[in-house]
Amino acid sequence: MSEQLASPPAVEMTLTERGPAKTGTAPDEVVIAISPAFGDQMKRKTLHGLAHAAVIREFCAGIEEEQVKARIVRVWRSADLAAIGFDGAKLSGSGISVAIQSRGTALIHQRDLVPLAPMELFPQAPSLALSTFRHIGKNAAKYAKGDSPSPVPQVNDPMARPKWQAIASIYHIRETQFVRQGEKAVELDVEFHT
Amino acid sequence: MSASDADKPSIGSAEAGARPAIHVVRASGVDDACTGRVAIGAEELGIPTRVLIGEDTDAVALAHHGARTSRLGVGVGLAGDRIAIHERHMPAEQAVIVCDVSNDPMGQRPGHRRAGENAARLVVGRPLRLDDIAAGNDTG
Amino acid sequence: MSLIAGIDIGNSTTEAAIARVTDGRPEFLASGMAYTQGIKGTLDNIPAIIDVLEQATAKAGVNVADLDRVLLNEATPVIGDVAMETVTETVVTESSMVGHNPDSPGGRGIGVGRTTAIDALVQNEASADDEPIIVVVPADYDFEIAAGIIRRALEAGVPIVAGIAQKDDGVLIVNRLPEALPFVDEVGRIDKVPLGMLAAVEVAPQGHAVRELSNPYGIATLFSLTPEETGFVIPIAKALVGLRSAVVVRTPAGDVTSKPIPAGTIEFVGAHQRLSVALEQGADEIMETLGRVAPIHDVHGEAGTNVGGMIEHVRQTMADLTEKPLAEVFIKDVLAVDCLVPQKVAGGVADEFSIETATGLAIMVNTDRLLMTRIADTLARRIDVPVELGGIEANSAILGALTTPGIDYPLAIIDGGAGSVDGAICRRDKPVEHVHLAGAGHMTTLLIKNELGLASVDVAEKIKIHSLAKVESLFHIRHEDGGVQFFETPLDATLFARIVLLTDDGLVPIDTRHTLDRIRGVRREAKQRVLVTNSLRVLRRIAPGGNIRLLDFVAIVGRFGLDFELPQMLMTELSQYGIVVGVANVRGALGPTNAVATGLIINHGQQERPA
Repeated sequence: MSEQLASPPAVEMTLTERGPAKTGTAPDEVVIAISPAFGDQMKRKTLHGLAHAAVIREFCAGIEEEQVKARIVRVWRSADLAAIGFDGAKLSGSGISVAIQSRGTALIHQRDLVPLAPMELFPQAPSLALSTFRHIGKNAAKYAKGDSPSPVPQVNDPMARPKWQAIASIYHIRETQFVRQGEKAVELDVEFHT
Repeated sequence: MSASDADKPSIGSAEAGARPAIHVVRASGVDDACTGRVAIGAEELGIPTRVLIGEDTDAVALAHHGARTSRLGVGVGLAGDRIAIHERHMPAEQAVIVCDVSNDPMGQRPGHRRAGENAARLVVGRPLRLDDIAAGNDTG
Repeated sequence: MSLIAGIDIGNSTTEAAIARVTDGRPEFLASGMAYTQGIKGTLDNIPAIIDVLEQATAKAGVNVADLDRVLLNEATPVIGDVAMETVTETVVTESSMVGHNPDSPGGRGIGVGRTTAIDALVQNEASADDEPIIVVVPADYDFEIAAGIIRRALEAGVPIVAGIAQKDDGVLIVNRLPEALPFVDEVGRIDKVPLGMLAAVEVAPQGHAVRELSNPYGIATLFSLTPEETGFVIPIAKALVGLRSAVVVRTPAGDVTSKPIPAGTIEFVGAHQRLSVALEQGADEIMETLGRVAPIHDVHGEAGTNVGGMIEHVRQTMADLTEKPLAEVFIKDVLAVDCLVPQKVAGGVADEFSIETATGLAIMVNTDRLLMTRIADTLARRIDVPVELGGIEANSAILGALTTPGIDYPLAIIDGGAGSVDGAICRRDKPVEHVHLAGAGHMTTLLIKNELGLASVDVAEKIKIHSLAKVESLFHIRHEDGGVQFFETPLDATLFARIVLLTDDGLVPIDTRHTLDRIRGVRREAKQRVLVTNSLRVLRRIAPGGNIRLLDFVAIVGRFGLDFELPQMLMTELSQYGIVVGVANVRGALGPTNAVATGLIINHGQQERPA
C-alpha cells in the first residue's frame, strides 16, 4: 500500500492539440516545451523508465508551487534540445522555458540567451529523478519571477556515459523521425490519468 | 506589418540575432526629426533604439508592434500628434503611456525626448517621469 | 442587573466595551473604537467618546440612554511631545564642491583641470598650450552644439579633461566625443561653479561610488595639498561618500566646515541631586545622566538655547491644556535618541545633502485627575447617564489582559501608545504597580521622518505602519521579504520601479531616492531604539529588583500589539530572559485592543459582587 502511495499518481496523460502556439503575454508564465515524440509516441518513458506523464506533472507542480503558470507547447521543427528550449523561451510570456526530449534530457532556457547556451542544462537523463524534475520546474519559475535560485544540483555519474550512450543515441535517432520541418509549435492541453 | 508577424516566434529571422533595442515605430508622414528626438531621450540613459516604419495610423498599435518585436520588449509609436509607449506584456489596446505632442515645441521637442527617456526607463527599471503626461490607462 | 459601558481614552484611539453585569459578573455585548480627537485628557475628546458609545450600543442592540453607568479610565494622562535638533552642520562658505547622484552622468574616470566656460572655447580663447581644462556647459547649449564645440577643441589639441553640464545631457555629450571624458550633469546652479579655478571631476562606473573625491588623501593627491590643507577637505570627502559622481573645486577663499551647533544643556532635577548634560554629548550621555538622577522631579532646558526652547515649549503646551500655572507643570521623563539626518548643505550647488548628527527628545508631563473629572462631568451632562472614573488605568489594563486565554498572575503588561510606553505589574495579593515613560509612536515617526529626510510626518507615519515592496515590472512587485507577487492587470505607470507601501487602499508610492532596504532599515531601527528600548526600560522599572528574568508572563496590549512587526521584535529581544511574552487576546477575541475598557467593567463588577 505504502509503495503505491509513494509512486507518482500520474503515469498516463492525454495531450490535446489546441492550435498554433502563441507568444505569451503573461509575465508570470513558464513554457514547458516538449520534443516531437514526447509523451504520446515511442515508449512514453524516459531512458531509464520514468513515465513522461509523471515528468510533466513534476514540471507543472514545481512551477505551480512558486505561483507561476505553466503552459505546454510541442516544438515540431527540431528534436534538438537547445532549439526546443529556445523556441519555448521565445513563446513564453516571462521569457523562461523548460524543455525536455523523450529520452529525458532537459534544460531551462531564456529568451535573450543564445540558443546553444541555456541557463541550466541537465544532460544526463539517467541520473534525473522525479524530484529533480520538480526542482527544475521550481527553478524555472523562480527565474521567471526575477529571483536568482541556486542551480538544481546534479549527480555526475561517470559510468552513465558508457552505460547509456548507445541507447540514448537510438532514442534520439528515433525521435528525429517525428520532426516536421517548417511546422509551427502547437499549444497542448494535458490531462493526467492514473 | 500584421498581427501574425508579431506573433511569429521569429527563430532564425533577423530579429533573433538583432542587437537589443527599443523599437521606435513611426507612421508614414512622421518627421525623422521626431524619431530622432525619441532616440536622444533613450540614448541619455544608454539604451539603443531602432526606427521602423509601420503601416498603422494609430500610435498605440505602432508602439505595440514595436514592443512585440523588440528584444527589450519596449516600443514607442508615433502617429499624428500622439506618442505611445508600449511594453511586451501589456494588452494591445492599453499602452503604458500615451501623450499628445501637438504642442511640443519644434526644434528641441522636449515631449519626444521625454518619451524616449521614459521608454528607456521602462527598460532599465527606473521610475517614469510623468509630470505632464497622462498615463495610458486613462485613455484605455 | 445593570448595563455598563467602559471607555478608554488613549492618545490615538478611544475604545468602548458594553456589558450586562449581573451579580458582579459581566456579560460582554459589544465593543467599539474611534480615533481620539485632541490631546488625551481635554474636552476635545468628547465627540469621539460619544461616537464609540453610539457604535457599541448599536451593536449591542441598546441605546446610549439605556446605560446605567459609564466608566472612564482614570488616567493621570501622560502627555508627551517630541522634538529634534541637529547638533552638527555643514556649511559651504564659497561654492567649492558639487556632489550629487544624477541618473546618468557621462563617461567615467577623473579629470583635474581649470574650470572654463564653454564660451571660452567658442571664442578660441583656449589653446593647446593651456593647462588641462574642465569645460562648464550651461543649459542654453544644446548637447549636439556643445559636443561639436568640445570635439573641435579636442581635435585642435585643447587639453579638455572633464566637464560639468547643467542639463541632463552628460551621456549625450560624451557619446559624441572621441573619448569618454567624465561629465557630471544636472548641476542646477551651474552659475555658482566658479570659473578659472582648479577642479576635479570624478564619475564612477555603474554601480560604484566615487573613490578619490570621497577620500581626503585622494583629494590631497589630486590638488597637491599640504597636510594642513588636507585637514580642511575632510568635510568635503565626507559629504561625497557614496555618490556616483562629484566635482570638487579648489577656491582660495572656499571652505567647507562641519561644526557643532551649540544646542544647549538639559538639567535633570531629582530628589537628591541636579545634574546637567549638553545636548551635543549625545543620547547615551543624556540617558546615563538621567539614570543617575532618577527619580526625576523636573527637567529644565538652558534658556535661550535650542533644547531650552524644546522643553519649555512642551511645558507651555501642557500649561495651556491643563490651565495650570507654568510653575506647576513638571516633566517626569525624557527619552533621548541619536540619529543621522540628511540636511541640505548650506551654500551647495546641486542640492547636496550632508549627513548630520541630531538628537531627538521625547518629553513627558504627568497631569492630574482633575482633567478626567472635567471630561466625566461634561460627558454625563451630554448623554444624561452617570459617568464615573473607574479606577487606575494600569489596574484596568491588567484586568483586561487577564482575560487572554493561557495567561496568569504574576502578569506584567506593556501598553504602548503614541506618546508614552506604560507598564504595569500585578502579583497576587499585591497592589498593581505602574510606570509611564516618555517616547513611543510619535517619537518613532519623527525618527523615520528625519532619518529619511521626508517632507511630511504623514508619509513617515505610513512608512511606520505598512510593509514595503518594490514595483519590479508593470506586472509584479517584490515584497520586502523577497517574495514576488504578480498582478493580472497592469499596474499604473506611475508606480513603475517605485518603492511602494502595501496599504488597505492598495499600493501607495513613496517619493524617495532611498532604497527599499534603507527605508526598511530606518523603520526597524527607529522601532528598536524607541519602542523596544522603552519597553525594556518599562520592564526593568516594574520587575522585582529591576530583574526582567523574575517576571513570568508579559502581555503586550494596545497599539504596540497591532504593529505588523513590533511584537516579533519585542519577543526576539525578550527571548533571552526566559519569560513568556506575547500579544494579549482580550476576552479571547479582541487581540491587544480594548484591554482597559474591558478591565474597567470587570473591576466594577468585582466591587459590586456580593461578598
